[in-house]
Formats: sequence, C-alpha cells, structure tokens
Amino acid sequence: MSTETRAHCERADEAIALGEVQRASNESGALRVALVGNPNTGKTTLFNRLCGLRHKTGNFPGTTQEARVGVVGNTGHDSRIELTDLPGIYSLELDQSEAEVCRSVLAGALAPAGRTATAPDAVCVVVDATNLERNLLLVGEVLRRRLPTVVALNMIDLARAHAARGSGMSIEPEALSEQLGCRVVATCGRSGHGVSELIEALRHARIPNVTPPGTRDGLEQWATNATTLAVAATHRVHAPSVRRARIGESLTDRIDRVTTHPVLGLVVFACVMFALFWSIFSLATIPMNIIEGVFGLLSDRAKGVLPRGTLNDFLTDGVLAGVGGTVVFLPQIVLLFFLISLLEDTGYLARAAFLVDRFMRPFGLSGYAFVPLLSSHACALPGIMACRGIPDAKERLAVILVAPFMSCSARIPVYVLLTTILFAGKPAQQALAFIACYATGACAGLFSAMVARRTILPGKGRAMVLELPTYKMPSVRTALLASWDRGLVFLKKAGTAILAISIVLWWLSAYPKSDPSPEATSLRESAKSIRDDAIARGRSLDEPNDKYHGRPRGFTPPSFEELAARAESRANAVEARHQMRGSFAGRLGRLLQPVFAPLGFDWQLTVGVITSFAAREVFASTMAIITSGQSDAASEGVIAEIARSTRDDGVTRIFTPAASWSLLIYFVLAMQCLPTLAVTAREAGGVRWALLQLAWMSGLAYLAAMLVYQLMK
Amino acid sequence: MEAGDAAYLRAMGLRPGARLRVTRLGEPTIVELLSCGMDMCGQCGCRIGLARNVAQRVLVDPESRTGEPR
Repeated sequence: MSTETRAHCERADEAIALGEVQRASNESGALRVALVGNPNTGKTTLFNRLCGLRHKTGNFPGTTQEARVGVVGNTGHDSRIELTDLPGIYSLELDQSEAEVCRSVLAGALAPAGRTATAPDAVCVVVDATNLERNLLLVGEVLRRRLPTVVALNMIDLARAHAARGSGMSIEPEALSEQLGCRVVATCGRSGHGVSELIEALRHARIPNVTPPGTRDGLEQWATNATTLAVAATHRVHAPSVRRARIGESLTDRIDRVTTHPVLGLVVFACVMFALFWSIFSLATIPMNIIEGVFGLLSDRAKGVLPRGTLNDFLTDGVLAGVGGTVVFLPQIVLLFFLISLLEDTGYLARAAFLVDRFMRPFGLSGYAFVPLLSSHACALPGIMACRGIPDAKERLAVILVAPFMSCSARIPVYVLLTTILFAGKPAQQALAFIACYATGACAGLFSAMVARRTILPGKGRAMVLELPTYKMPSVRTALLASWDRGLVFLKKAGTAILAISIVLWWLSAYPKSDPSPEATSLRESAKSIRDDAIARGRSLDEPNDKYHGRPRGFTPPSFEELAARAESRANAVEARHQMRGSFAGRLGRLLQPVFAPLGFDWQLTVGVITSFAAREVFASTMAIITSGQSDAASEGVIAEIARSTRDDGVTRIFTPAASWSLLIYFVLAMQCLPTLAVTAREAGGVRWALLQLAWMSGLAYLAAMLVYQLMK
Repeated sequence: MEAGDAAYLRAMGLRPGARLRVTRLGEPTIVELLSCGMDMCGQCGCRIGLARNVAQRVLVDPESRTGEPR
C-alpha cells in the first residue's frame, strides 16, 4: 500500500469515527445531498441560489412527485455537490405522498429517475428562521434518521428585521446548533447570504450527536425546549433584540381583510387575472414578432440557397413552418409562468385558493382540489398526479376526470392564434377572450365534477386547511428560473415531438404530387404575357401599366412587374391549395369533414383538429403547414398567413368569426391529449375512466362548438 | 375531526397548548401561530387559513387583546 493510499484510508477511518459524510456508495463521486423542509421556508429559492441553471426537472419513478436535481456551482473543490430538492412537507410521518417520497429517499429506497437509490450522503433541512419552533419538529424527525445533517436557518434577514422592530426573535445559529447537535448555518436564499458557508458545512456534515424523542408529544416538547434554550442563549448575547410580541393588527392583516373578503376579494382576483393576461398579450408581441422575423428570414434564405425541389419544400414548408408555427408562442408561455411565479411568491395565490374554495364546495369539491386544478393550468399530467394529495377517494377520482378541462399551456398557442385572429390589434379584447377561455374551461370542469359527484361519485368535499405565506416582494430570480424551466420543456417538445409530427404532416400534405392546376398555369401564362407585352412595346417593367391610365388623380397605377408578380403569387396560392387538396392529408380531411361540418370546419380545419389529438399545440403548426404558400403577401407573419387562408373556393376564409369561435370552444373543452388519457387510466385505476373522460369531454366539446357555430353563422 | 386531519393540523403547528392569534373569523378563518407561549417569543409569521367547518372544531381558550391570560 502506498503512503498516499494509506493516508487516504486513515483519513477515511477518521471520518467514519467522526461521523462525517461518506461518499463510498456514490458511483459518480458527487456528494449527494437531500434538501428537506416545510412548505414556504424558501427551500426552492435556496435551491435556485445554490444550483442556478445547473439543474434538471424530472420525477421520482412510480410516484406523483416532481424531482429537481441540481449541481451546486463551482466551489473550488474537485468533488461536486448534487442536490435533490424534495417536496415541501410538515412531517415525515404524515400519510401523504409527499411525505412518503421524503421518507423513501432518506431511507435510500427511492431516487430521482435515472439515479441509483441509496441513502443521501447528507441532508440539508431548511427551516424558516421566523417560525422556528414548528420547523424544528421536522428537524427532529430528520435527526432521528441518523444521517449527516446540516440545518439552514433560512430567511434570517426577515427574522433579524422582525427582531429589530421588536416584533419577533432572532436566534443565533451557534445557540441553535448546541441544541440540535448538528451544524446550523444562517442563510438568505434571496440575497445569497450564508450560501458559501452552507456549502462548506454540507461538505463536512456529521451525524448529529442528539437523538430527539420518537413520540409526537416527546418531539413537540423537545422542539419547544430547543427553541427556548436557543432563545435564552441568544438572549444572553443580544438582549435588546428579543422583546415581547406586539399584539395588534398588522399590514398583512389589513391586506388579508381585502384579499379574502367575499366580494372585494373577488374583485381583486378578477383584476389580478385580467392584468396577468393583458400583460402577456401586450409584452409578448415584440419577441413574437422577432421570432416570426427570424423564421421568415431562415425560410427565405433556405429558399434562395437551395434548388427548388423536395429538400427545399421539406425544410421550408415542413421543418421551418412547423417548428416556427409553434416556437412563435414561446414568449407567451414563458411570460405566463414568469408572472404566475411572481404572483405565487407574493403570497397572494394561497389567499386566492380560499376564495376559489367557497365556489368549489357546491360542486362537490373542496379546497384540496385547488392545487391539482391550478397545476392543470400548466399541464394536466402533474395536475392529475397531484390528485393523490386529495384524501377522499371519490373526490380524487372526480378531480382526475375533470382536471383536463383546465386550460393547460398546450392550449395557449391555439388560444393565442384564435384570439389574435378574432381581435387583431386589440390586446385588451384578446386578454378578455383569453380569460373567458380559462373561465369556460374551469366552469365546464366544475359542472362536470358536480354531475359526477351527484351521480357516479356521490359525496361532499373535505374542508380546507392551508398555510398562508407572509406577503413579500417576489423574487425575480426565482420567477426567471421557473419560466426558463417551462420554456425549455416547451422548446424540447417543439424540437422533438412537434418536429416529428410536422415532418409527417408535411409528407402527408406534399404527397402524392398532383398534376399542375389549370388555373395556376393560366395565371403564370398571364404573368409572362404582361412582361412580354411590356418588352415588345419597348417599355420598362418598372413603368406604370397603360391599362390604369385615366384613373382618378392621386392613384398610383401598379407597374408591369408588380402586376406580373401578383399574378405569379396568386398562381402559387392556387397551386398550393390544389396540391393540398389532392394530398393524403387533404383526402383524409375531406373524408372526415362531414363529421365536423356542423361545427363550421372545412377539410383543412378538420386535418388540424385530427392531428392535434396527439397534442393540442400541434394545431398551430399543422395550420401553418397546410396554409403555407396560400397567402398573397409573401412577407407577412405566420399568424397573419394562417388568418388569411381560404377555403377551396379561394374566397371564403377558413377562420370566419363563427368558425373561429366554434373552434375556440372546441379546443377549450375537448380531450385532445393522448398522454393525459394514459395518466388518467393509471391514476384512476382503469382504462374505463379514461374512456369515460374522452367520451364526456369530446361529446361536450362537439355539442358546445356546434351550438356556437349554428347560432353565429 | 378525523385522525389524519388532526395529525396534519398538529404538524402545521396547531397543537395542544399552541398560542395563536385569530386575525380573521369566517370563511376562511385565519390564525397566526405565536409559538410556544414563551414570554420572550414573538410572532412567528406563520398564518394558517382554515375552512369554517374545520375552525369550528378547534378548541381555543381566549386570552385578552393585550396578550395576557384572561
């Protein structure tokens, strides 16, 4: 054995003796740390501060819980720290899926997908310094696991500010460390205070030398004693900073009085939601225009560089039109999640949950359904999986069935497309229509829940209990990271599934090749004759055409070249429609069109609706591909081109107001998502529930869309 | 109250002997936990919203408005 190896072994033996972190079980060599804490302790903010963009979001296999695994930034050490953000819990002993995940991870029985399940090398318990005693209950439960532990005394800035105002206490970490038998580090996730110290503490985390009692009563007494002794120790050092509580109405009380008021609260809720969606439409316009411009430029370049033919069509009409038609909605999605994250961070959303709770009870649901239904607004999959937190089995099943009625992010591109077509250049009306879509989906979900709870799943919802976080300024950094996460997921989907579907759609719409259209041939000949005529008469192509002479003063007649170009552009549009009509996609659309005719859909919209059954957001890219080349205006954006597209007669728009409203209602209500059906079957315990969901939602969507179209046409 | 609900409330800090301040009555009832009852301890900043029918099942022994035992 070499001297170096021997020294290493001696050091390892010494570390074991001291109870320090061991990484023998970790094949990657990284120090694996589990991040545990109560909800609202700033755990996620601290995780973001530690890992920044160096994290991945996945899930714990076989569970409903999301797993975020990040790598702590460069700390000047060779070994990395791999941080797993566990769900926020109040106790490890509760009969909840979140607590079960935490228990299993700490026991080494569960790990995020793709990782080996072994016990973490260390545990970091994040506690709220302004609410210490309650948080120490969880700390005690973790200490009993006998794993190397470090406590992050988070939000220390708030605790010290409270103490300075005489409205709270501030405990020194050393004083608390003595009571807990493990290292305690004062941190502030928002400012980054104490983060470096926390990283160092994690590297040298030790098994605690205190074992709290195992009974609930004993643990509570232990937490009280630990807090009392730590306060007393701090009191000796910083007597002026610890005073008696101020009992009186605070600013939070006054804000709560408004935000939870039965009437005023609703007004605030409506205003907040309107401002949210109006901001999305107003602010996202600029980046959307830029994205449209970039894809237009790429398409023009590809057309200019590549010879005419299959490869050219594949790249421009397949890949660029399909992906561009989806990516253009990225700014809205990122902005939506950014603003929701900001709103959540202020503490307002929890109050809104209680407001919503009152309205859910008559429908047989409780406040417990709010989180799954709110999550479903991002995506129905996590929403349905979050239903495991609903204690009542029948209520849980009812929420699973109605969760896809909530407008998910996949519907956003469709909503944006249709509201932009319906209210072009009117952002306020677009925002109202957008809110109406969300409200219609929510109302349909509640109505369906009421039907289910009064027929196949009878019963009443459970009463709601929820921690209301203190109002505070939101963290822009946290919101940016949240929107970055969602944006990446969307882009990944656009670059994989949507790209694949776009290529298939392009092939279906490009083949078989049709014979040249007589009308298009005639138009091209007309363009040629205009140019030939000008040359024959010795005129320049840029001169005004003679046939416009004698028009009113001020009218600028088009040149020969402009007239010829218009005829060619029209020929291209006619040719494209002719080709699409004879293609596989066109034939399929025409075959199924009679089914959707009562809804006002022509065969092109029918193709869009059918292809979007796999994923709703595919609708926008499908329409971009189908309508590609139809418009006369070569340089207009994707949305404008889709809006201008016409039916087979070349005159009637596909998106008439009646058809657009009908389509909008259809997409609000229809079950257009295969993965959701799969998850419903799994979570509800049978394929029959997924089939019931599909039949009910699709039937409701069909009837509602038909009613709208027949009334408006 | 069911055992699971009681355990959840207890884990949230609403345990026997906990001091709290009722900041709003009705739907929802909002209480603020004042921690363990130590004289030197101040506000915890932890607020819990309770649906009316849950709040009705929580037994509270009131103190005076100044915080002194009645």
